[in-house]
Amino acid sequence: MSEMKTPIPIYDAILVDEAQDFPPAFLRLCYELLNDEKRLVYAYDELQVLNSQSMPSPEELFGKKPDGTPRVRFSTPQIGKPKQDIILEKCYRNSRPVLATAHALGFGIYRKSDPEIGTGLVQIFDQKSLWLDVGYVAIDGDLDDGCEVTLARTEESSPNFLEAHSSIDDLIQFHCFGSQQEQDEWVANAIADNLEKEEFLPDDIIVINPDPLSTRKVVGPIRASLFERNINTHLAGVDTSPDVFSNAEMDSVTFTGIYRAKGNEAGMVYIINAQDCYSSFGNLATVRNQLFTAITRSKAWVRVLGFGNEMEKLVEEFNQVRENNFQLKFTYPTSEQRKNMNIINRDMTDEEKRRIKRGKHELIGLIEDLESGKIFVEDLGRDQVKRLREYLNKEGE
Amino acid sequence: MPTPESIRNQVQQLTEDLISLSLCNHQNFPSIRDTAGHTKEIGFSHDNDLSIVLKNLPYKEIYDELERVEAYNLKMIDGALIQMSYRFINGDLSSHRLAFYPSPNLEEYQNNPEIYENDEMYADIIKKNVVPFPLRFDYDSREGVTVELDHPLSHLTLGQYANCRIPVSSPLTPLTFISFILRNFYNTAYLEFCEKIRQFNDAFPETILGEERNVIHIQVPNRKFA
Repeated sequence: MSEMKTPIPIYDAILVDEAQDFPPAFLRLCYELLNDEKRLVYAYDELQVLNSQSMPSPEELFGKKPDGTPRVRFSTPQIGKPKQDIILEKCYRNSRPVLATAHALGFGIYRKSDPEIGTGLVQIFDQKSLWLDVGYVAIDGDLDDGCEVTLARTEESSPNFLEAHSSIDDLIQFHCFGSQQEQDEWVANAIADNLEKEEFLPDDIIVINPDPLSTRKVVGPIRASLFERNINTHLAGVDTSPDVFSNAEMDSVTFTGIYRAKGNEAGMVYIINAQDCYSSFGNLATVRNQLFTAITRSKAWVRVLGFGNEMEKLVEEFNQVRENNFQLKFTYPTSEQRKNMNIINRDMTDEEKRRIKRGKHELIGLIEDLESGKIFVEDLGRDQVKRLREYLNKEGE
Repeated sequence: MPTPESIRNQVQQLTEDLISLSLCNHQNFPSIRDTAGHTKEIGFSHDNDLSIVLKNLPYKEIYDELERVEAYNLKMIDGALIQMSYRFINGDLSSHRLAFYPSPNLEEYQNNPEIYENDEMYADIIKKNVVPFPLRFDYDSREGVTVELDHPLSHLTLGQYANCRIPVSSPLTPLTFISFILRNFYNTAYLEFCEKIRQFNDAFPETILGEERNVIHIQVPNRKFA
């Protein structure tokens, strides 16, 4: 873009879907390629940002004019004029229990509290009004910093017909198995039952593995087992045609990693190895977003499966969602807590993770040596100690 | 001497094993059909009209069509298509066609295995110096078709060259063919997984004729696993 001296407008209008997956520079490029009317429509889902970079405001995205004012600013809605910033509060794909579960786990509403921050929340809207915009109402308490609040979805934002067809326990299930093999066997049996006894078509079912790096490997045994039972499956996305999610004849069950699952939907969604989404050092928001994205692929039923300790904890979190009748009951974090949250739970590069691990390790060693008297503060050099003290005092403010 | 049923079972089990090792992304069930004249045909879905492979079209178009209609037993992780067909008459092998159609677009697994460890969306690098080419092991014992040396009973055709018929010492079982493909074109995976692929004991008797041994030819081992 820096090389483009005089951009030539070639488009009258550009529509961008899944805009959260593009770097801001891409949207700026679209802006430059439009004629003066600048008819750019970009649609995105804040919570489906799988790399955890929030969508910047239009002022940030499109930069400033030479005089310093923003090139794009959304005006407040005026009667008779079309709105520029529209939030879709009604969800037509996911039922209330499914969507509330996805939100609860994506934000970590019932996650065990992190002593460093004072809340279990992984991420949260700074702007509280966004909760109302995406279809929740505060049925108890106050939607305010430091206050207890209970949020629930309404009949308007989550039409009842989406959930009326099945019992809650059928709509969404979490299962923790003793091992990978147990999980794999269960999924294969469940899919076989869906197709042979329950009138599902292969096209109605997708199996999602949240961790993109392990997907190919882990789905092998399940797919082989299904093939043995005369059930055909495919791994989405390796075709030369990325548009094809289901195969041409639709006689094959789709297995997919999280990235390829985006934008697609199915009646029955199996999420395997969900334990990978419970927690991840340097990646917490991302893995929770992966879980959010995976759960929200479902038009009807969801089965979240996994094994091991972390899966047990994830199931506990879900049980709390269920016990609270799929309402979100929590204490809204203060601005200070939100700031901490964003730092501690931010996504880190591999380099950052290494540095942090090393730094923590060395710091613990230093503290122990000092406390046990193995070394003295005087040994560390007066200048260094002064610098450290000043830095820590500054941070503590 | 392999029977039609044992060949079909081999194909089924090899397919299962390759799926479970995550080496293929899509596959079709092997079929066995009875046709006129005490004939049994072992094949795969959509194999009824493969005439496109004989047309004088660019390889990419042929590959795209086969891929589009899903005319294969296996589609490997790099998009390569594998076809295996056998015809038995009165219980004896009459002909076979074992074909490997690599994708002209995607990276060969052998040359860049780590790409396939990550989500495919990012696997867009094409190694410039490798040339993917189709190959076919054919066996045909019909009267009037074979000619010693010029058209051996069992032969290998490389790159769809019309007159490339490298003599092969015998017909190939599915296992021998798949092992050949894995070892040579998916070597990294082969070294890691060869123990996990189920073995079969049978082999076809030799069919190579005298003159064919005097030129460069391919010797199929008679023991279990190549």
